[in-house]
Amino acid sequence: MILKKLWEKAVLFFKDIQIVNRENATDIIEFEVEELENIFALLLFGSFIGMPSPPVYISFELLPVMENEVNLMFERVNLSYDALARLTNVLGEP
Amino acid sequence: MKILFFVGKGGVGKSTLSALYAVKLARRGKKVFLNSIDPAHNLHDIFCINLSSTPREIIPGLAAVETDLNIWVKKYLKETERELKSVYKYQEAFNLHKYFKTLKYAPGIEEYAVFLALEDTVKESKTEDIDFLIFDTPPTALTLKFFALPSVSLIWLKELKIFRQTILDKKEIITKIKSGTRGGLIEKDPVLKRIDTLIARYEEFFSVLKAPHISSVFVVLNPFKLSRSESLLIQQELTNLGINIPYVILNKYTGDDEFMHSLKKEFKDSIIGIMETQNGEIEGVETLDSLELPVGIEQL
Ligand SMILES: Nc1ncnc2c1ncn2[C@@H]1O[C@H](COP(=O)(O)OP(=O)(O)OP(=O)(O)O)[C@@H](O)[C@H]1O
Ligand SMILES: [Mg+2]
Repeated sequence: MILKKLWEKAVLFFKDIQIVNRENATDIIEFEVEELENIFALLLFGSFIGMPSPPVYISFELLPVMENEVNLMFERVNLSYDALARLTNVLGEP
Repeated sequence: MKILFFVGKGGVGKSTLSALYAVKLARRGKKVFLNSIDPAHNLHDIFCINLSSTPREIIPGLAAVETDLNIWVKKYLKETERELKSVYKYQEAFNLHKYFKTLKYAPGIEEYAVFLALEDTVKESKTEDIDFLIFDTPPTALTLKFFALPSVSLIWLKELKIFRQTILDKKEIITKIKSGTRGGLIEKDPVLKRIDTLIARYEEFFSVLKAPHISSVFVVLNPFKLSRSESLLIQQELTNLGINIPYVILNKYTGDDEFMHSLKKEFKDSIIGIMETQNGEIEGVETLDSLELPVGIEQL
């Protein structure tokens, strides 16, 4: 009986850990995705802020379907987000 | 349909020869459309009539236009600005109007206008059953940029596609972990869709340029050092792009055998035609009718 309870507790414990880990893992990927999306937008529309870019006409062909990324990009520029702080947040303290 | 491009250094005789081929092919019963995309048009001088962006019949079977690239730039910028304004209504940080005012001078826009004009002409000519579509091209630098445009664009688009796919793959993983189901993001993504559409568009155009049974480049040169070195530059650039040069025309030939000899070596894979210097101005249909096509390239 005691053994069974212990076993159940152990299972629960590991489940919790799994959930925690899983959430942590998605956080990391989410962060990465957001970064990648930002880079993708910057890659295309960097000419607005003086970065080397693909030919303008390619950027313009894609601009109409990239509302989210472009808004994200401007948000970044406007709030000048502290990217490093967010990174340590996501990764947790060492 | 066959597409002929007459390229070469300024003043070597691109316009004259494209007009000559146009007239001769029309006289042989072909349906010919002659299009000058050189911003400094001179087809009207050769035919001694007014030409514009609206096709005008010169002789039965031959219509000609002088394309106004500025109109294409304006039209393109206007349409793009309108589309973007409707998407980015609320994005005030995005100073679109100011950006568009200077955009017509941005690198790439000029050759993009050439591309749009050509894409349109090719499409139109196909529906009108044209046998020969002949282009009198702008100065070499712009012409080469135009020829490179599809492949440069494809390099960028393919990189962007890989990048976009990476993002979507990761998003898909997040969705799967969180909800346990597939999100189908890759199939639905509008950006990826548009990248694919663009890739298809440039690939189609590029394949037309590269197809030897459709497109033929005529490099025109004179027996002088400068026009020869520019022709070699054209050869090098086009070879790099995978576009070959089936014809070279040595125009204003005066019997310089040595020049001819080295030209044959330099353009081993091309048919070399010879056009002698004519007496008097070459203008008017009558004069063109009286001339023969360059020796060696009478049949296409
Ligand atoms: N075979 C020839 N014999 C005599 N004159 C010629 C010959 N070919 C061309 N010309 C003359 O050379 C001049 C330049 O020719 P043309 O305008 O066709 O060159 P182009 O390459 O189109 O020049 P541009 O780069 O300025 O458009 C014209 O006056 C034309 O009449
Ligand atoms: Mg000309």
